[in-house]
Amino acid sequence: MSYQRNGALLGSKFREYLFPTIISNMSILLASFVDGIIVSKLINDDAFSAVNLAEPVVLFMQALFFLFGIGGAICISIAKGQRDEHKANAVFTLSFIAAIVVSVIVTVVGIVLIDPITHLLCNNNTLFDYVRNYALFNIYGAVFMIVVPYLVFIVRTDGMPKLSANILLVSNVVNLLMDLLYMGVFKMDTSGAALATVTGYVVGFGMELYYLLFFKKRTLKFIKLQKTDLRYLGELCTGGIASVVNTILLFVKAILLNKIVLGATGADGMAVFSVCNFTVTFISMFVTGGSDTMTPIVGLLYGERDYKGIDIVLRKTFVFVGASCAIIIAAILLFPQLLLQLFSVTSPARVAMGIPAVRIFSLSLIGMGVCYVMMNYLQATKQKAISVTITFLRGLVITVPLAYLLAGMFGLNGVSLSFVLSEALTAAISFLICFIVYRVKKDKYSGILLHERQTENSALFDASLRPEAEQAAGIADSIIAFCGENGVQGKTADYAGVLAEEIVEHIRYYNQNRKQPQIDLICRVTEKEVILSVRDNGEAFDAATVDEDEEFTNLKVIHSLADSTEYTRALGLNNMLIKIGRAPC
Amino acid sequence: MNITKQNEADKLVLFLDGKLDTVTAPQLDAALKEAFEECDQVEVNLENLAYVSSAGLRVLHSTHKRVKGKGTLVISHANGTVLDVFESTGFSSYLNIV
Repeated sequence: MSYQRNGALLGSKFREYLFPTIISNMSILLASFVDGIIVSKLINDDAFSAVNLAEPVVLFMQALFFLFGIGGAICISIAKGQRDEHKANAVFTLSFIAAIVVSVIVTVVGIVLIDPITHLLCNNNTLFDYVRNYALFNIYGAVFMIVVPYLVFIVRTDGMPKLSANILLVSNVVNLLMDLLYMGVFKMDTSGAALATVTGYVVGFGMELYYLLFFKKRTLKFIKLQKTDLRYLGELCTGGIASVVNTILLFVKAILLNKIVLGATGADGMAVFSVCNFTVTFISMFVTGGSDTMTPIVGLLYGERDYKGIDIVLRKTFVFVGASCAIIIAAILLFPQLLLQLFSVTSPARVAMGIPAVRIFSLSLIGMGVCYVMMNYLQATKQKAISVTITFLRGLVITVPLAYLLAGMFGLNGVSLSFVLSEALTAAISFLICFIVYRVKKDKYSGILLHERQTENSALFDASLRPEAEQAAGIADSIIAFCGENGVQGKTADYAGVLAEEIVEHIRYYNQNRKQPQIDLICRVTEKEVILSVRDNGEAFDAATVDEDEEFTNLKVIHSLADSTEYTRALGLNNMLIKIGRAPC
Repeated sequence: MNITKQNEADKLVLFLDGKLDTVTAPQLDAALKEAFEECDQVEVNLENLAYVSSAGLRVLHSTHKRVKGKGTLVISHANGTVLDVFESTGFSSYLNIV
């Protein structure tokens, strides 16, 4: 019987996370899109411009919730993978406190400095009040604007992707409804738009309170922090740094590129370039959806040092992102006019300019997808420096000078070309950097994906199986044989076989009359011990408590035969680690 | 797993050969039920048993409880890892192991 490791378990986890993550991204993007339309329809075009001018305030808050949300999610996933429940809970507690404290500081400082901030954002007297009111009401609600999306990342990492998506979905639907109420009925100005967003997040916070106070499936707990736990603060703040830098650079890049395009091609070019920007926003739902889906899963596997698992998830992410980009590119290459028409770019001059420009631009989407996935992958595997480098290269260093140069030479087509070259160059450079790091630190890493070599001499056996009696019995034979091939025989090898059978049988019994889970089993033989790492997507079980009334249950036998057992529930997966010391020969 | 039955004086002996796991445990369960219908003293010889998991332990334990007072179940010649499993799990304190 073959138990070759396959992608069934991790693939189903990837699919489970993918749709809610895309829905989350979609709800944010569509809400911001529709928000803009509502503001311009219910107030006027000036108000819409003011909302765009005040965008840095919103982006600043976004950078903060990325800092704690993505950083916290990555640290927690890795800690869970290492079965370090204390660290996972400490990071959760620290990140929650940090998000609250920072958002209160933002509120106080923002209110005090609102006039200087507004002057910085806008030097137009007509728009000043609109900008000030929009920024101020966002700042009033900073606690909700930062804490709610921060917690969304944490809820997703805690194995509840649907709940996290629903929080954002409900928040944004409430936001749009309140837009109509505040600006349509109460005739508020831009303050109504900001207040609607805050109201949406207040409702979202209510859902999060339910998660924090009553949700039985919550695995992350608030703990009393020790002084030593403060050391995780650095890890927390740098964990999601690439995403924070990316957010800031997106804004800076947009301002600089708008100036370049306007200067080189005028209003006609700007209209077409806006279509290109929207295309990026649209494809981002899928690219970031795929990448954000991958991040917590890769973090967990990185913590477990399950590099084959990481390869499986990374492959699935690239396939999804690649396919999404390919479909969009094909659509743009075949029907560029349709895309331009969608955004009312219909004048013959603009269409003539737009068709080659959007076609060239569309080719950049593949490179963008690769860069995004690599940025998230490297961020989740603690290669922060390379991840931030990718962000800087595609966000500023390559794109902007290249756009400036090529816009002067080829007009709008040059700007489009700069995106294609910039994304492709960044993708190539990111792989080159990984290759150089691997070559320089060959003793530490194996391969271009920078998988860390095992520090101890260990042999590895990994398998995927279903919870069936035949498979449970069969895997025991395979484990005993594998141990034998690696110099472990007799009692230790037999115990390893029995323990493998017991855990698979436990999963089978525990999920009777339920959807049958998938199981991944990894066995490591090191110099000192045999380690079984078993992961399944069935019902959560309490591995520490054995039923005293029943004799010789699977869990009881596991506890009797193993030298140590550790259990954690992460991303909706049971993760059991069983260790047996090698008996002296 | 192979199960061989042999009548010896006043008892019936079952010789187990191979692995007593989750797949083969029902086979032993059936053999024990049949054996106790024939004789109230049954010995299970484990000399050639290489492996036992909790499924096997549960069959032996449940049989022991079922026949208590009506008959005797004796486990004999357990060795190597099988004996280690009996001792580590506390199984040896429940049954007559000789």
